[in-house]
Amino acid sequence: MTMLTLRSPVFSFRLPLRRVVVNALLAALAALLIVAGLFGGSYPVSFADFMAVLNGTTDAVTEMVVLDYRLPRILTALGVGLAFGLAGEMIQTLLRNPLASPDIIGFTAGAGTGALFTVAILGTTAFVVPGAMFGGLGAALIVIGLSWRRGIAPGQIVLIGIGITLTLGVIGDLLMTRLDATSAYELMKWLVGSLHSRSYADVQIIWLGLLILAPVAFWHQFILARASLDEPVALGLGIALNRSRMVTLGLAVGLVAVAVSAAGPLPFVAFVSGPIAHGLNRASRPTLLSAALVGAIITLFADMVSQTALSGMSLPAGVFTALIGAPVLIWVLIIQSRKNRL
Amino acid sequence: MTAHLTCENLCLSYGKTPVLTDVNLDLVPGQITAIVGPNGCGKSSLLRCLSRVQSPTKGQVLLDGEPIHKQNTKQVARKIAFMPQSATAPTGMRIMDLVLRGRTPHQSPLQQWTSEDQRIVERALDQVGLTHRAHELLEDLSGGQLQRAWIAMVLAQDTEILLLDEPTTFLDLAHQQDILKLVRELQADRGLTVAMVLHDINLASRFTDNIIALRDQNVLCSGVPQDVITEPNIQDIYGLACSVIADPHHGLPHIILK
Repeated sequence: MTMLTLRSPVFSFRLPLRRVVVNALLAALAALLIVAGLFGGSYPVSFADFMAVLNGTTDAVTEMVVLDYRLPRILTALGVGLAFGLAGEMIQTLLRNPLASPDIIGFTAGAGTGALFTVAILGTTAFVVPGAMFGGLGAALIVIGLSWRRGIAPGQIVLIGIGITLTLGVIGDLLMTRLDATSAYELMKWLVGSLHSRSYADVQIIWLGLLILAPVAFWHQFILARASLDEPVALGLGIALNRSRMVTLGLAVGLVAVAVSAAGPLPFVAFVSGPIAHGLNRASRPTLLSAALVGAIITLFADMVSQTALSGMSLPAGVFTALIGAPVLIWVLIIQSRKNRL
Repeated sequence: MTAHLTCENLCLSYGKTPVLTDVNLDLVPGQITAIVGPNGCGKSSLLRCLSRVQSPTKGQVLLDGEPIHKQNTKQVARKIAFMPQSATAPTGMRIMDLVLRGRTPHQSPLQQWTSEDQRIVERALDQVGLTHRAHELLEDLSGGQLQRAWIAMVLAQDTEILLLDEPTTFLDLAHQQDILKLVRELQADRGLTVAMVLHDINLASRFTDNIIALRDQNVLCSGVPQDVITEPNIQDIYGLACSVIADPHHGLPHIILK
């Protein structure tokens, strides 16, 4: 196992070479998907066309395809994937359980229901972000509160979280009955997670959220790696455990809320990113950057497939992330039950 | 000048079950203290309170005369290292990762591998004899190796006080001896203050300067091994009849069960 030592007066790190290579490859793959999404598809755009669009010297159709349609869509997919990847890795690491990802333990469902609530009850999309924030935070508080056993209890969180996710699904359905058929159909697609016709408003939401939350998450990685040790060990090492748990959960809820506000819940992206990154790195968690990149790759890929798979039909990308995620969920359940850890 | 750890009228209860009642003790700086007693007498709880991992219900633990729970936890972690009983690490960790975690109170998000960190981690690995296994996964280790990896972690913390909860469990006789000799060396060379929970009275007698015997949530007796390990005391602590003889090599008290 080759290790790189980086030292200067202001910083010092010990990095496995493998992690550097994995992250570089993942970043390259994500870049490839971005390029494919921009230039490929049913209306091919050449690099020259793209540059012309940026210079404002092209025809209206190409400009519309690139600027109004593809660019916001890809930027949203990239940002949302990064956010879900980060959120999933943080909570799975903290609770030391791959099942404890925000989309399984109710945080994502909470954000979705919160957003749906503002649209269905207030009749406007102006409060989607605060709605998702409050919904995600509310669900997190309920799940953690109900599972509290003189401290955070990971196993309990998973079971109660699944229950909350199901309950929120029913509440979502009930809210849906208040809407007329057209809006219900649109919201339904959003609730599955869709990247179709994303606007710059969505790009703003997710990238503004990432700009604020991602640096804090990466800074917090040092503490997270230690807060995930056994409680007496972490406390003995001088980790303020309650505070670092709250920070971790708060960051994850925030990331999930902005991602859900921008593109809907996109099932399983948060859930699969961490374990895949962990498998590639063969190192202890957290590996936030790898997980974020895996999340971005899955989302960009699902978006690409959702546009090309069935011509004429526009299936939401969430259907494809679920298609990727469901087998991984079953695989994790089998591994877990073999280890008797469920 | 080494750090000084004491406790005053320490009480701890889990719900309505009392675990410790009015415990007063003073860990002699620069010496090794063994904490002994029957199962469930509160040994581990006492160590957890002393290491501020557990908050007492009443009373307080004092580090250099100041209440430990009111001090900055990172600063405390530079003075006291605590090894709990049967800790488990997250999957995918290697020995090196675990030992480096011991450097936490000396690190920051930007400074995670200074030359000082490297020197002390390598020293700790060497002290427990795991230098050549540093890159092995923890899940691939035997119980004894794992125990030594955890000990290396607390050694890497580079503190003046070491609190060890049953450092010799899972170890065979030779490795038990190695660990206790290592603790003795550290105490002799660097003047460390050590408190550890031990089950084997004879090992406690051989390798420690003081023994604190607990029974029914409180200190039954304490002092140098010669004073604590007596036939009536063993009867009181464990309810066991025994003979105490002087061991032929060191003349220290040695118990033989009847």
